[in-house]
Amino acid sequence: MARIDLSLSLCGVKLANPTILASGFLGVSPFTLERVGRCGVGAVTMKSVGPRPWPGYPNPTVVANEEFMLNAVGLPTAGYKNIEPEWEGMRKLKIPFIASLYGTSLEEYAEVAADFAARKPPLIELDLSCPHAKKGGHQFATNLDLARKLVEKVKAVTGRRVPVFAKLSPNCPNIGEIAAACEAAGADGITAINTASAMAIDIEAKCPVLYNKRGGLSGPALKPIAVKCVYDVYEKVHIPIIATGGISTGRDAVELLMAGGTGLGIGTAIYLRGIDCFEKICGEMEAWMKENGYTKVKQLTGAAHE
Amino acid sequence: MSERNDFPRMVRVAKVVWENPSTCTILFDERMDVKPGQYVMVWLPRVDEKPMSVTYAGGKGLGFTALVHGETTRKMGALKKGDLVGVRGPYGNWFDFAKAKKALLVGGGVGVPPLAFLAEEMAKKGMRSMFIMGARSKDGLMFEQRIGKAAELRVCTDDGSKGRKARTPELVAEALAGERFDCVYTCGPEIMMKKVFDECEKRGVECQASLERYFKCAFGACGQCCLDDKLVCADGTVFGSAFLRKSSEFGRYSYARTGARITLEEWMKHGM
Repeated sequence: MARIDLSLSLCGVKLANPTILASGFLGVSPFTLERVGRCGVGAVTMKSVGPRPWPGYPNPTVVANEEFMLNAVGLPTAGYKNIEPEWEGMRKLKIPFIASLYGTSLEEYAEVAADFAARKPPLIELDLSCPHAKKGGHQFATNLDLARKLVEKVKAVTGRRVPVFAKLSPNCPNIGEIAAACEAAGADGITAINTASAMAIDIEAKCPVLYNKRGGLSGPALKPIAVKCVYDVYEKVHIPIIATGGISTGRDAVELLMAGGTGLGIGTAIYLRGIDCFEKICGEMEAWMKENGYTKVKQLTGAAHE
Repeated sequence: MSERNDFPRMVRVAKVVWENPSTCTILFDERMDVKPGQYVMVWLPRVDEKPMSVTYAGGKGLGFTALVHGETTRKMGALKKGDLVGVRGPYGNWFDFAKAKKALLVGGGVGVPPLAFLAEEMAKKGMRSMFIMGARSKDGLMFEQRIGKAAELRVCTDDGSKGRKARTPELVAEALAGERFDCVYTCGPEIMMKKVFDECEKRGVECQASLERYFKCAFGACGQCCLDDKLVCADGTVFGSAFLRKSSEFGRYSYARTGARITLEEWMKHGM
């Protein structure tokens, strides 16, 4: 029986398997990222770093059930000038990491990106699409022209040193076109998707549950939206996609790969299955591939397209 | 396994009891299976949600005790019978006393409530325990009668207004020198707990400390409450000597809401 090969290359960065810790989970310190690294993940994404210190929103910031998670953490950040210890810790990781950043204007994105690029992380991810940030956030990923300008501006400061992924939002009718605009502007990859805009109201309290009222939806309920968005993006671009949204089992992983994913962003599955969800999902993918005659994970990317 | 639901559930306040001038216990007519050391996330709609250690569970209903010191806890102190409050949990691990025969409990300030609950559970099992309670002054003490019924109580205050004029770690050192304890259980300011842990190490006595960080999700996903590679909200809040001994952050660092690592002294100034 042929060995199952889950390894891949993402813009030249070698991953042992396609699972990637999505931004915003367990990424506050490098110690917890290192622990995720011991749980069979292919790569980890830092919590997004912004231009200035910002505490995010008061609680409740994260609530969940078996169908979905809602969060409005609000992009808390120490600010890019205050994360020297984190960079040191990240460089010691035994697996590749993705440095995630955000701004509230084109200039701020470029400011943080210039600092990041000088540090040469394996990959950079631009969070263009946080649905609950006060300023900035998903306006950049829902407007064709803004998305193009932003990626152009960032690529002008990062140059060829570090591959840049643009993380897109499902809150738009044309994610495929937006992804194509990002590619034309120089993006090296697309992460699709961020959480979807959502809200929950406690009917006894007569009040939205999240302090910020509006938040982002993730988990199993997001998966069909993610599959459609990744499918749309794959039709329009030639650059690799980190498919993210509702993956909690090996079968979900295969589905998102077939939609067009090369890498797989995973976050809410930690809530449902524990930090070792990465090795569980990889094990299930391997078993499925074995049963269905696949030997390389690359064979699955885009397999559902005609 | 029952279906998971980590959304707040609205429950009505049954009673508010003031334990001292700045500390109140909020009680609910709720049966929840909670072990000493576990906590619930308590939500005041449109205000905030905070982790609160459980101080009563079982037959007496559910109760937590809050030190009134900021906007949210002030609003908790203003709650009246019949008011609606959101609760989710219980969360976290608990004090393990299955193997201990003689225990020393060490509570400082608002760290006392979960240990009062623990002392009662130990007494139910017929365990003998000593309880050292410390506060800045007599106005910071609480549950003296309740603890007195379950354990041998020793009280100290920084200003000597009640009990010995001493700090809790001094009384711990004396107690450990005087008798043999199987385990020391502590909850209070982390700088105090670090000193208590150091006394335990000198004597080779196992220690379990309930730690506090800023919590968001409470189920080990967001990472805000990290302590080395642990998540205090889900792996803790109770940590034993094996971890405390090798931890590079216990007694030294915490994480601000921004995610910046700060010293414990800065963190205490910040407040929660």
